[in-house]
Amino acid sequence: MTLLQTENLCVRLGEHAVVHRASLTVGAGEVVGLIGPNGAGKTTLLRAALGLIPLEGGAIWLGGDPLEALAPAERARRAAWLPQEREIAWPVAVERLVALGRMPHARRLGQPTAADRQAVAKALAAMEITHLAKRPATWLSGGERARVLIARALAQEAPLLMADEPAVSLDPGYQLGLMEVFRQQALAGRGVLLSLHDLSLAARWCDRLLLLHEGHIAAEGPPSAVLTAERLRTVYGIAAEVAEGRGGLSVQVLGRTPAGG
Amino acid sequence: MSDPLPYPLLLALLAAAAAALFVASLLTGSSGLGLAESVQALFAPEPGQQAVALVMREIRLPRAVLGLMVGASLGLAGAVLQGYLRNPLAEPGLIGVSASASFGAVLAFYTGLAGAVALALPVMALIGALLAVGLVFAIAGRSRGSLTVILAGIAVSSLAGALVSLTLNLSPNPFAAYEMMFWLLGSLADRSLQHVALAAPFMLAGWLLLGLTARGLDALTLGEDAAAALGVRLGRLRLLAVLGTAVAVGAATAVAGAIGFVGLVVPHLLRPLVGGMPSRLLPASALGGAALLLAADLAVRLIAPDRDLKLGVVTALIGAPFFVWLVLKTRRGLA
Amino acid sequence: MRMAATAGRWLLAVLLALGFGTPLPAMAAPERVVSVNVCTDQLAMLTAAPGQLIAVSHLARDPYSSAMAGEAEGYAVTNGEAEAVFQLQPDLVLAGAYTTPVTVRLLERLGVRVERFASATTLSAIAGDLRRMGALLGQEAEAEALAEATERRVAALQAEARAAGAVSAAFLDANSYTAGRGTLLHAMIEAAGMQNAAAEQGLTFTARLPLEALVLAKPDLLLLAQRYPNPSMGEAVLDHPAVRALASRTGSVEIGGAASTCGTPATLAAVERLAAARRAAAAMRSADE
Repeated sequence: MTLLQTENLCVRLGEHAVVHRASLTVGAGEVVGLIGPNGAGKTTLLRAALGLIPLEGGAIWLGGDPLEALAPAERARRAAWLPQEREIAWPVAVERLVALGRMPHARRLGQPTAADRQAVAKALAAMEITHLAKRPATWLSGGERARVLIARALAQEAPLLMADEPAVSLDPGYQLGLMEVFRQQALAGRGVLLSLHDLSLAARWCDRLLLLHEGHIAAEGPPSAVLTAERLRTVYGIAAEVAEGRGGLSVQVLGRTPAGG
Repeated sequence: MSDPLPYPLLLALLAAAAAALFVASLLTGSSGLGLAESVQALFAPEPGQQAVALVMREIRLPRAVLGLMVGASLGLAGAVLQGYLRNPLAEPGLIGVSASASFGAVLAFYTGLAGAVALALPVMALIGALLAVGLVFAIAGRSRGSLTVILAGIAVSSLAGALVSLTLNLSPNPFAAYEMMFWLLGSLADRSLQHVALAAPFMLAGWLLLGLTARGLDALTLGEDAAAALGVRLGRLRLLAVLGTAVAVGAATAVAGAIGFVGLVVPHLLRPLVGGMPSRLLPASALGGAALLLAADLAVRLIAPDRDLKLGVVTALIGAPFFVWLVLKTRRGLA
Repeated sequence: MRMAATAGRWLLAVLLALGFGTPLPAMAAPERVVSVNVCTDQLAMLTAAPGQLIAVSHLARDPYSSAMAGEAEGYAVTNGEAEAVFQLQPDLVLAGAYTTPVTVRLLERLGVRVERFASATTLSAIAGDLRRMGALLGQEAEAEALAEATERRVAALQAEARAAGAVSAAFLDANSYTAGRGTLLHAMIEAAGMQNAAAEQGLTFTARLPLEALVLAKPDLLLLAQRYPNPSMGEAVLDHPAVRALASRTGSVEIGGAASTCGTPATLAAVERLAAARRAAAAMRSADE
């Protein structure tokens, strides 16, 4: 089932056409990686797909229904969003912060239900932060904080999980742990759409990749099809070797070439 | 680290403190009236106790009620402003809302408008407050730095204070020029039940609006994007915060003048006790604010019984050192 | 240069001579009199010969401070500063005891004769002030007539006051101020045959009377200060529900600054009104009993 579909999405920020005619789908059971250089429009595309910024043109369906027809709370039940800014304003205990992810399911003045508590516990365990449950979130290291915020998105238990650069600032071990969590989510029937900087990580863990270049989706498909040396030169301005290694597909950056061409 | 105090217990303690201070306020005044005599005169005065009943009902009761309600409004608005702006330095006094409300009230009062239409007083104070909150929110906008918010607040406060002074000095009544202290420092002296009737409905409405921001503020802990994606309507949240603050603080200022620092100190002191959750901080701050202002009003009457010491003096004596400590702590945190 | 030095020494000699301040021996009546105090304004206006008084203070025209605001329109006004006064070249300046000492000293150093009057705090001082003013202006006859009339009225009031029963009165001004012992208002209240509630609480001069104390004093008559036409917070206390409740029970009389700021015949008229109010309050009370 298609969890997210966009058609000819166009977003203009100021004078710039930041995203141009982007069409994509994310289905249940797959991990889709959004890659591309800085400034390509990855964050804008993701935020636009959630309805957080106005569109210049195009259409979006979330969980099969047009986005505009859905109330904000319903959108939150269908898609969980983890933004790039790792903001935590107040020293709230980790488990309370993660519990904020249950807000779309909460009733008016409701107390947390058993389902809520269970979802929070599962999310804490998945991100290996159960031991930090009572600690104020602002007292944590950068990596721990990142995991707390991801746990919040997991606790939301939405069919679609969208994340903007979730792996940044995580140790390599935790990065792998994170990708494993996403894989588990996909296996459980959910969909994951995340933007990535690390091309090897993207290559190894994503079922499909979307390569964004100057606001256009330049390529789409399995990692092996998208990550070609030619494309990497064009889009990233690097000379790279893409090879099948022991852990899977890997991308080795060899040097720089002038961008474009 | 779990909460030092269960939340219901915290609220009960704060409510008890506020209630105790309310009673103490009723029993404090320039004339020493006995406990039994005061209580009886308040509820069921005997024929010979007319004068005492007058004192209790018309002089002490309005003062105590306003102390409670104005304090609650300031504490609650402070908690909401801090939660919405995600800034521990935000409060109605510092960001210029109280001073602007004073200007609106001064304009209504000294032109005689409030004499003709009683509601003009709280309404114009409300409008003044609205302009200030709106302006500061617009300036704070995208940049969440403390600096922009505080600078905007200083600008608004200064302008409003100057306009208050100008209006007072242009008034034909010779007393007016000396009344700046009331408007910019606040006082509950000689307030009447008429003032209560005028301001209470607005304050209650403001509390309702502010209370509705609770869940949205919780979500805002994660930032605007995350909150929006959690289903919070940011536009509606902003409107509730702006309007609620303007209505509650506007009405409070219309009858008591601009009182600062209550909305800064109370949410701050209580935040660790509620585990940092903005939604829990709201009722706690309301009760804490009520208690603090009642205590300050008691201090005013005990320190200088026959003089008219302004409330803002006491709150500033508490608040200004606290503010300095806060700024230093914030700076260290940022460094 | 040398001429200036000589002139300077001559001026110094004159100033030194005047500096001893001895009143000049009997001389012709002053022809250019300037008054810079609202009380001396009124005393002078009452006794001066036509054309003798050339200027009064601006407060003379303020109906909230002066009982002769209308008459004051017929005179020039000054703001009381030495420069303005000196330019009128007066041969006598009338000032109050509390007129800015700097201004008074400056005028004296410039060779101007300044006579100071203390504000009257008793009714009997009014006649004395009138006589002294008459002497200064060379208008003894006019002043004596007024003084005698004043003394007769005061005597009549005192006789009636001695026979009056115990009626207490309290005066309330803006910002909760009242008139304690030692003020003209206090003398007025007593002359009208009443006890001043403020004095009974031990207050002297102009002092604050908290609202609670006012209510608990249970005065028989409430005297409220005259209000300015535009609103102020200070005067709002005069409208406080507690005050209005008190006034509805006791009745209230408005007292204007015109009568109570300075001791003039208008003051006596006000006392006569107060006596009438006292009689009414006493009658009401005995009707209740």
